[in-house]
Amino acid sequence: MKKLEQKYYAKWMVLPALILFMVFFIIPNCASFVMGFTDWSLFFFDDPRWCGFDNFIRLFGEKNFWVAVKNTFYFAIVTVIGKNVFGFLLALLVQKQTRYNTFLRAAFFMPITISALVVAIIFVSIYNPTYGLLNKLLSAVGLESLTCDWLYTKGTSMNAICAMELWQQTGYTMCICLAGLQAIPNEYFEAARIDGASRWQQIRYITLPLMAQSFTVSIMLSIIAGIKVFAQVYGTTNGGPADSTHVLATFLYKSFGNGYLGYSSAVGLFMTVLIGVLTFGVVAVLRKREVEM
Amino acid sequence: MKHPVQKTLYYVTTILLSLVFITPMWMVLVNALKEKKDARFFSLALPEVPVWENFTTVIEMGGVFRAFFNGLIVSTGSVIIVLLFSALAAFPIARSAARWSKGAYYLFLCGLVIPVAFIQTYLILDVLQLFNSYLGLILVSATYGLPMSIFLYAGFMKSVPRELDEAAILDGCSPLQLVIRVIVPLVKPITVTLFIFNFIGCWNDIQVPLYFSNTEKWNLPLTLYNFYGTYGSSWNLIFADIVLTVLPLLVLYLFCQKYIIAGMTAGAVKG
Repeated sequence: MKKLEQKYYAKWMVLPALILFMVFFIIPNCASFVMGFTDWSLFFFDDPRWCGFDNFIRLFGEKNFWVAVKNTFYFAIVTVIGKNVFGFLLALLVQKQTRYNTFLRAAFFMPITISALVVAIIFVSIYNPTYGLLNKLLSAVGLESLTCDWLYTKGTSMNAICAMELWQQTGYTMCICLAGLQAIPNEYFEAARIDGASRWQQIRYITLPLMAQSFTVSIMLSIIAGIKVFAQVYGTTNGGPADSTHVLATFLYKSFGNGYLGYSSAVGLFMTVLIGVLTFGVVAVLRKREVEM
Repeated sequence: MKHPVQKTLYYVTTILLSLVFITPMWMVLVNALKEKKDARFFSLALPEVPVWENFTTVIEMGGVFRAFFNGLIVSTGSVIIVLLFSALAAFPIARSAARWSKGAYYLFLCGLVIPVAFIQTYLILDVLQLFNSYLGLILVSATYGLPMSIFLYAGFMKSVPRELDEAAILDGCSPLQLVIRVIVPLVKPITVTLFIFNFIGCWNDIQVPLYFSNTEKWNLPLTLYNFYGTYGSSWNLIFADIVLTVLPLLVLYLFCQKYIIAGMTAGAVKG
């Protein structure tokens, strides 16, 4: 039987996937550990030299880098909270299986099928200062004082980009939450009702604890998506005005475009470590809070 | 929810919310059919006379056909490779208790969290002479789809009873036949799900073509962005281009909504 097992659950079956994964994922990632410590650039392509921590010293000394770090964190925090809170509320709203709710779910989820870059272009028109839908709406309800050039005013541009991401992605967390909600046996709620628990108490003491696993997943996914944010910024402001909306991925793309391979590897390396530490850290904390059903 | 006030509140909230999601799409659609001078006002009114020529103009000027086929070739190619390779790899990972299979599993899982090293991948493609080629784009996109697909396939294959393997082996199946003809058909729902998940991901992705190819291999979203950069003031044409870009997936979404929602959330539910 052992022999049969070795024949049918064989190592070679993993090989095609493994080779692809090695060549286009593992090796590049390992190489970035090496390249991040060299001064390799497109200008002296054949002559890379070790430069120790020079790239990182230069990186940490650059003002735009810290702007990018700050914006990435801001975007990640706002969207993680927003997506999960709104996603959960939407899920509660459309939880019952009715035809109307099926339509609503489809409408809320629909933006996911659109590329983030396309959504960005649509929102450039919505945020247009003179004729954009948002300013028109604000004027129509008498809030003219709030109208502004959303994407090109320093204080509002990051918020505008976050709002756009929420518009597109909240439907996704809603679906994760719905799946979590539907897995909770109805008897729990019946028992709670008989004991006289209010709707709020049911949510607080039954729904939320039992959905902890769904939240772990959706929070993890939104953290990863938040730190990797690229198309949303690339398609709207592309880092402007005056480099105030750069995030790590656009910063990386820009330095890559300038031909500094070693330097941009250092940026990539920084992102990898950041995402790794954050994701594993947060998951470890969240897993502790989960309860068995 | 029997209380009439509660009921009204529910309907008012949900209608307003759905307007938030539908209005932008409506705006795109109606303005795609207007003249340039009208479209720049972004109004929600229907066009007086629909200008269908916008679409033909965009198709000619924006290179929509080429971008459509670029997307189709890369997405289809990479989805086929992902499904084949990940089904094959997930089977021993799901069945064998050996140390190497555990190791491979965790190695692939890393790919779910760790970001891609674009610059080094670019250099590798350059060395392999695959930069700006369909094969290069297909292989790279396929690689990025592997972790999630292996993770889900392995999870679902574990639920297929081992007795079926034994029966198939007694009937003289080869290892390859066992996976392709016995196991994969038994986990058909997850195959459909993964097909859609990977297809949509690849179709909408911009970073792979942006880093690893030149304009002539770009997909619809990127050519749209290019077009928007060139004809920034012709919103009627930009909107027409958006309609054409969004349409293929929107049609797919309308027809297999159930599978798409399952596909996009499967990882979360199983995880």
